[in-house]
Amino acid sequence: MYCLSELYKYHNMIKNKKYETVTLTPAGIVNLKPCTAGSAPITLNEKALDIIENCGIPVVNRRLASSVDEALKLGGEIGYPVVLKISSPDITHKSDAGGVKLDIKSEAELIQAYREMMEAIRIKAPGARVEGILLQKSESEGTEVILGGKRDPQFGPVLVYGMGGIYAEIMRDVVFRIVPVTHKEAVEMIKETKSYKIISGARSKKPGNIEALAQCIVKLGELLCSRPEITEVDINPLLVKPEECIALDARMVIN
Amino acid sequence: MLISTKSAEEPTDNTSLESFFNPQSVALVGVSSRTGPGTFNVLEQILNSGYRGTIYPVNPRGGSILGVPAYRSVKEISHPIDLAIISTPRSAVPEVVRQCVEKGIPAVIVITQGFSDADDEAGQRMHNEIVEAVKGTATKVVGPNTLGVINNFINFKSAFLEFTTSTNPVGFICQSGIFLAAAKDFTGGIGIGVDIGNTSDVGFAECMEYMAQNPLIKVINLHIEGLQDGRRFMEAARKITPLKPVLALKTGSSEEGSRAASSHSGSLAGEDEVFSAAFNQSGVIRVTEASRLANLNRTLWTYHNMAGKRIGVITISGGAGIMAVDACCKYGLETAGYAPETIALLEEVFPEWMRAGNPADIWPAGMAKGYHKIVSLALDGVLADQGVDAVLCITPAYLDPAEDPLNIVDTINETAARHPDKPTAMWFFGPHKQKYAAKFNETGRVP
Repeated sequence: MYCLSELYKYHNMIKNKKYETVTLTPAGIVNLKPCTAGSAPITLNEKALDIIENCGIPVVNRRLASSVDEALKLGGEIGYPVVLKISSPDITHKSDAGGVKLDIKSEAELIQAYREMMEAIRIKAPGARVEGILLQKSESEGTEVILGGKRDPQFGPVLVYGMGGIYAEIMRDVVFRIVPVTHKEAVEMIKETKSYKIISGARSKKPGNIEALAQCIVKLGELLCSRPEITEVDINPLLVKPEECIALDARMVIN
Repeated sequence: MLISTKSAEEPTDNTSLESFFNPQSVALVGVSSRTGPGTFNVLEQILNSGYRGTIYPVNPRGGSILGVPAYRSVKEISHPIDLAIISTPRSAVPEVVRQCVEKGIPAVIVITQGFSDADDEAGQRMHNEIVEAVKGTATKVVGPNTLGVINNFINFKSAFLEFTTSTNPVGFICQSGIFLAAAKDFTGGIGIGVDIGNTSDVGFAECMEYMAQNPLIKVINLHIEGLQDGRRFMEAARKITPLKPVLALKTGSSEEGSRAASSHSGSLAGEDEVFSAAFNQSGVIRVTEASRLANLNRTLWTYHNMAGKRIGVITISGGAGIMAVDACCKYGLETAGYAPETIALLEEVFPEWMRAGNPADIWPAGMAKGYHKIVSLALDGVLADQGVDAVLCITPAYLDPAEDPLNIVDTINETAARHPDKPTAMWFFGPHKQKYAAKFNETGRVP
């Protein structure tokens, strides 16, 4: 039966298959120069979101505030509720350092949260360079997935896509592709995971936008192909919503 | 008489490997003057193998070895040479390779070990010397650290070991000599094979391209430990797999790559998973258990199509039929739903207390009305059903086929021959299943 199943697969899925050639579109304007000056690998946090936004992946509306007054002004522009995140090149695990505040609903809450965060950072991460506090629009509805990439010594850039969240590494509901990938291959990737059923609307949840998600996968693949200095990237989480896909956080290693 | 595997329309860039697999003349450099058991004399092996090309032994002392005149160096040979097989001590290898390049020998096999596989720096340095010696020239190198090539179609082996392989339309590319010497165990037998060893020059992609255009090869098998250029491999595989099936046995999955990673993506994507992705993306069928390779090869070269995944099961045992249905589900196939005509045909011969369906348990009818007759009728009916894409026949092998009243091999073959587009596979059980399987293999079907 095993042999017959492989025979079936060969004659119906592999034989006479025509492989699409992928033509790479320029990956937007990505200025990595300041990051690549040194020889040691550099990890980017907030800057990673700018880079992926430039390559065509939608990113959450976010602004950097360097004072409480500025935060209040930006909060009004973005619209409540907002999320606060500390912006510091020295802090990688933001929530461990007290550098994340979720669901800020009003100006009063914003003022309090801003002060608490600055105080927490002073205690938990003394000496860390603080560039300010990042205000992000609070996104609720949708399914969190992880989309990332790395460089394999034998195959070069590889995409990783799968279920996000804190148990991602335990559940290992992930798929891999050597990049670049076509839109069709990106859709196949999404459908290969168990979490596809969740994204496509399990338990009366609104279905997520698979087309938009596939587009993000294609775009990240293009970025990895065109920028060999990006050795690792995580978009985690990438929020799959009914109308669109939005990157909420990202990390990138440049070497 | 040499069997030429060249075809008129083959692209020229692939013919460069022809000299490895189909040499008319072979120089054996570094062949020992000692012969007999335990001397691992490649000349002796080739002379005993029935190879019909011309052989030129090269030994610094000259003279003659096993009655064949020996030359002091490659340069002394005035005739054109297709293939040089080098088994000198490693320090002499780079110079011999350079001499082969000067003489314009198109194919060189370096059997000698101790290059990039060695633990010292000198090994790596001499590896680089070989790479440099052939760069930009018309000479290609297989190895070092290899058993070389086998072409069973012309009884040619470059190996210093005696081993037998049965000839099948399978091309085998491996990275370790054991796979070549034990090719029969792993693949069921091969037509041509190559151990690419340390891969100083010729690698998987070129060998696959050669085998793809060789009309004697129907299925390509790979044993992969690692790849030097994964993208070149995928590019070649994407051209070849739509034409011929390529099966890969990937061994040695290291977690080194993922250990060094600092991101989620890095730690999630281990080397082994990346290989699986690459195989999937280029149509290479990954075989995880070596024991499955031989049967899968036979299946792929025997049956030329299978239009869908609906399986009909004809069984002498109800219990075995259920197992077959379980296996269908496990491997993503479906049990066919039979057309009313097929059901009617079966019910006509079935006892009145038995409903017909899939799997069709034919023993009660066979015992009453003749096993051969019922097998033929049921198989013919099921194969003719538009809703069936392939059939599995389950029959016992309790007795030697020569004296077994339940030997239905001929019956199956005659019936299946009327439906050449649909694979009919067999499952024998019982102490004589190997004999039955062999008999069935002879007639070109897969047990």
